[in-house]
Amino acid sequence: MKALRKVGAPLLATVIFAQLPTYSQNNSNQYRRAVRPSIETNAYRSFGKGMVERPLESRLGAPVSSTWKRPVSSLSSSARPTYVSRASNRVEAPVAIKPSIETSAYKIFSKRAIEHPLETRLSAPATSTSYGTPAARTTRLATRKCKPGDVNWHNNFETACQASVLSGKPVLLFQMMGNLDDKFC
Amino acid sequence: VLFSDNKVSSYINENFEPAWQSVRAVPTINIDFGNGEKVTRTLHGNIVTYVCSPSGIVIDSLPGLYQPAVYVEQLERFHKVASKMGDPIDKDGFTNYHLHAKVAKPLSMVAARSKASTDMPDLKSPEEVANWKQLIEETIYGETVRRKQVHAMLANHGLVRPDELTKEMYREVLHCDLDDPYLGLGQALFANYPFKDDDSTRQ
Repeated sequence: MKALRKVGAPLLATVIFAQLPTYSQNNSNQYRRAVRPSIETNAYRSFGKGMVERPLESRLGAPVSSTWKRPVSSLSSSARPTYVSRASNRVEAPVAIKPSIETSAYKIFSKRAIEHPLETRLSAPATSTSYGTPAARTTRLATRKCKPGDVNWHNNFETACQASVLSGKPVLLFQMMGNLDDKFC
Repeated sequence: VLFSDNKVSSYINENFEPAWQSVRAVPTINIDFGNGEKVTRTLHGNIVTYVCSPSGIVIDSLPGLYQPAVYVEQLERFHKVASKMGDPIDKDGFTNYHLHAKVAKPLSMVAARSKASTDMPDLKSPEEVANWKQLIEETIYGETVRRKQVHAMLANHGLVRPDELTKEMYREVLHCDLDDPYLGLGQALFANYPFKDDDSTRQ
C-alpha cells in the first residue's frame, strides 16, 4: 500500500500538471486570445491597428512602409534595429530609418493630420444625432458671414462724414469688437 | 439683431449717415474636448455708438447694449442736439451741454423690468431679445451709470473725434482695456496657474 502511495502521488501530480498549459504555451497566441477577449471585440475589430496606421503609411509612402515591415536580415547593417521583437520578428525601431521619418515626413504631416481619420470615425455615431458635425462647428465662426442688419452702412467713417456734409444728417458711428457682418461677433 | 429691427434700421437710414468700425478682433474661447469635439464661443462683444457732426466731432455717445426702443429714443434726442449744435460746434455750448446733462432711468424700461420674466427666453425672435430681462437691466445700467461717465468724459475732452476717445471709452466705461492683450482677464487666467512660465502660447 505504501509502495502504491509512493508511486501514485507523483503519477497523479504528473497527470494534473499535464492538463495545465506550460509556460511556453502561455506565450502562444492561444493564451493571448484567452487573456484579451475584451480588446479584440467590436471597437478593436472595427478600428484596428491597420486602419489607424494606414493613413500614416500612405502619407509617408510605400518605400518607408515596406522598409519597416522588411525582415531584419534583409536590412543593411546601418539600418539594423537595436531591438527586434522575438514574438513577431518584426522591426520595432530601426535607428537608421527613424531620424529621416522624424525630420522630414513627420514634420510635414502633423499629429492632427494623422489622427484625424480615427477621431472622425469614433465620433461619427454620437455627433450624427446631436449637435451637427464637428467640422461644421469648428468652422462656424470663421466662415459664416451675414448681412449687417437692414441699415445702409457706409464703408467707413470718413465716407460717412463726406456724405454727412452733403446731406446735412449727423454721422452715426457704431464701434464694436469683431465684425458686424460676421455671424458670431 | 439691433440693426435688423425695422424701427431701428429705418430710423437710422432716414436720419443719419451710418458707418461701423471694428476696434479689434472679437476674442473667442475654444475648447478641444480631445475626442474630435470642439466648441468655440465669443467672450466679449462690447459696443459703442457715437453721434458725430459732419466734421467728425463726437456730439454724444451710447456705450454698451441697448433695448431697441430706448436706443431709438436716444438717437432721436441726439439728432435734435446735433441739429441745435450745428457744424462747426461751439466748444462752450458743447461743454455746457455735457456738464448739465441729466441722466435718468427710462420709465419704459422700469415698467418692462417689472414685467420681464426671469426665465431664459429662446431668443429666436427680435421681440424676445428686446424683452429679455438681461438686456433691460443692461439698458438701465447704461442709461444711469455709463451715460454719466460719458458726459463727464466729453465735458473734459471737449471737441474730439471718435478715435481719440475709443480706448478710454472701452477702458473706463466698458471696463475692457484694448491695450491689454488679455482684456483684463490676465490676472484670472495666470495668477494661480502653475505652468504659466511654460505656456508657449503667451506672447
